[in-house]
Amino acid sequence: MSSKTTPTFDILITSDRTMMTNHHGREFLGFVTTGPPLGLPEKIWMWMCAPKPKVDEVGRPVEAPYGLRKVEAALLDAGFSAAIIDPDHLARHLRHAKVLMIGHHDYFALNSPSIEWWLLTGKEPVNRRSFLRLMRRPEIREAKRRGLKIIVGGPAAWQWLWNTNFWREFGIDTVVDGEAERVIIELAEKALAGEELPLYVYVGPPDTPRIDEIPEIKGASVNGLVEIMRGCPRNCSFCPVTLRPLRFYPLDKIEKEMQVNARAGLRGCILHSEDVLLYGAKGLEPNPDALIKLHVLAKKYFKTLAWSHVTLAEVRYAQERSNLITKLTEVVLDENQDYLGVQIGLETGSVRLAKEIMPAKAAPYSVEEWPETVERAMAILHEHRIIPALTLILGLPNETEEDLIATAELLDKLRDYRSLIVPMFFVPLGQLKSRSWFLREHIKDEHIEVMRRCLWHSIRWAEDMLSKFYLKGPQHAPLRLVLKLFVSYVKWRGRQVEKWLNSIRTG
Amino acid sequence: MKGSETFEFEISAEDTPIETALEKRLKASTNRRVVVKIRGGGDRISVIERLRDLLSANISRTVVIYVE
Repeated sequence: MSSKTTPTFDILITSDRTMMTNHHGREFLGFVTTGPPLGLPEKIWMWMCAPKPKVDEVGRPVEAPYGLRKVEAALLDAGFSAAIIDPDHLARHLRHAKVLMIGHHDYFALNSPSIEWWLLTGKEPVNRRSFLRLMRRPEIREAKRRGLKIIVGGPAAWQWLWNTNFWREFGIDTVVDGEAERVIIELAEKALAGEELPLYVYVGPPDTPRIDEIPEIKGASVNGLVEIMRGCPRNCSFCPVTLRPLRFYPLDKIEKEMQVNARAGLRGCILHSEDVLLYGAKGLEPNPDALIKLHVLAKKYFKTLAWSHVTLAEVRYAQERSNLITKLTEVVLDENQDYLGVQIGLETGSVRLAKEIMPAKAAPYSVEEWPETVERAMAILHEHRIIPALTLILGLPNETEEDLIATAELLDKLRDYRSLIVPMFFVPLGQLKSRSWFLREHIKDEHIEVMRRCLWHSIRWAEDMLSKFYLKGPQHAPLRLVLKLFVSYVKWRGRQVEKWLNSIRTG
Repeated sequence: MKGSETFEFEISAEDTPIETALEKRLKASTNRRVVVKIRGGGDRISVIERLRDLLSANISRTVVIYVE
């Protein structure tokens, strides 16, 4: 008679439910985890945006966040006994584990748009609630009492500096801020050997890994996301990514990661970069050959493809110079896929502010052409069935009422282009780390005007997308219904707010 | 950039506040990685709180902070 034993791991890697989910295979629904539950019970809200993933018999998720997969790969390549474990399956593994590593995009809901929904509604977003619930679980507290070491990192590691009460409460041993592939091995060795751990590690640009030092993922990533490059040459002052060197993954490295995802049964792929159109580029000059090969490669393994980010200037330039957007969509759009999703930073409609904070964002066009570049790029995207979720930043340092009026005027010109537009409050990051946060009391009438335009634009196009593109097929009917009800609720609330604003204005 | 260098601070023995002293050392260093060992700060996390503004600024090298 054979007996099945559960494998044990020295190092567990995890996150809370808002991260450990595939958002029903729709990456954009991940945005919903940044809000508080509005008009719905929290359980339904969580089901809508963060359903439990499929796991194996010991609680390892089939799909896990890409950043956690990189840490797992680095540890496995170095010979450690490590695994990503779904938060609901931690208890049995914590009895044996010596180290718990946790990553997150937004531990305490301090990034945009979480902080914005929190400030506007006065309610804690579900990503924060979910993370705090995880850390207060008895099994983690018990393991900590037994000597478990806890190391936290990821893009939101900086938030621990501003939440030292939780650093104390949860007994975090080390916070790692920055690309972790090089330093994580050293930390794991120390933790397992019982040596003293540093309280804080900031990974500076000279310690970022070279491409050949970045390991390939060993298990599938959420929604088939694969990195194609790191860094960005545009040097926008509000963005931390530009502080790191630009590095391109070679195609064979990307293909290995795509194969991992395809073997796990994933049917979609997200190409991740700050600007996918810069893959293989020389400066800002797109490389059509490299891009077409990359897209052909992705479609060889996956039915559907999405871009994480592009820039509007590169969309315009790539199309005007070599019809590249047409060529790429000819590869991507087929009988399996009738649109392509992407997130894009619009940031501001003000040329004056663009000159201050993102002088190279419009390049190779002049910064004075920024609004025109935005409009032309949006027309190109609309024509090619590429649907962007645009983000704006409100409350940038030195922002004036004229800047906000310029943004509102630009939004009026974008009315007929299919997109969602999400206004975000300024969070001091990148070269603007030392600047002040944008708070509720800083909101002016002009901010409200911009937010109103974003709201009605997004409602109009969300209804269009839900009826024509998003979540088609009977298997998605319950989720589609909940989303339609939610959009109707937001529309109803929006009208109430409009009435309230008008009553204030008319006295 | 060169390799790694280690600075040790005894908070109670320093004439200048630790954040000022560390900032000077970081500016002067030409190394890729700076390891800082701090003793005598009382609550370990409160030392990080004192260094928060410095650590929130853009740092051009790796900083590893131990607090005893």
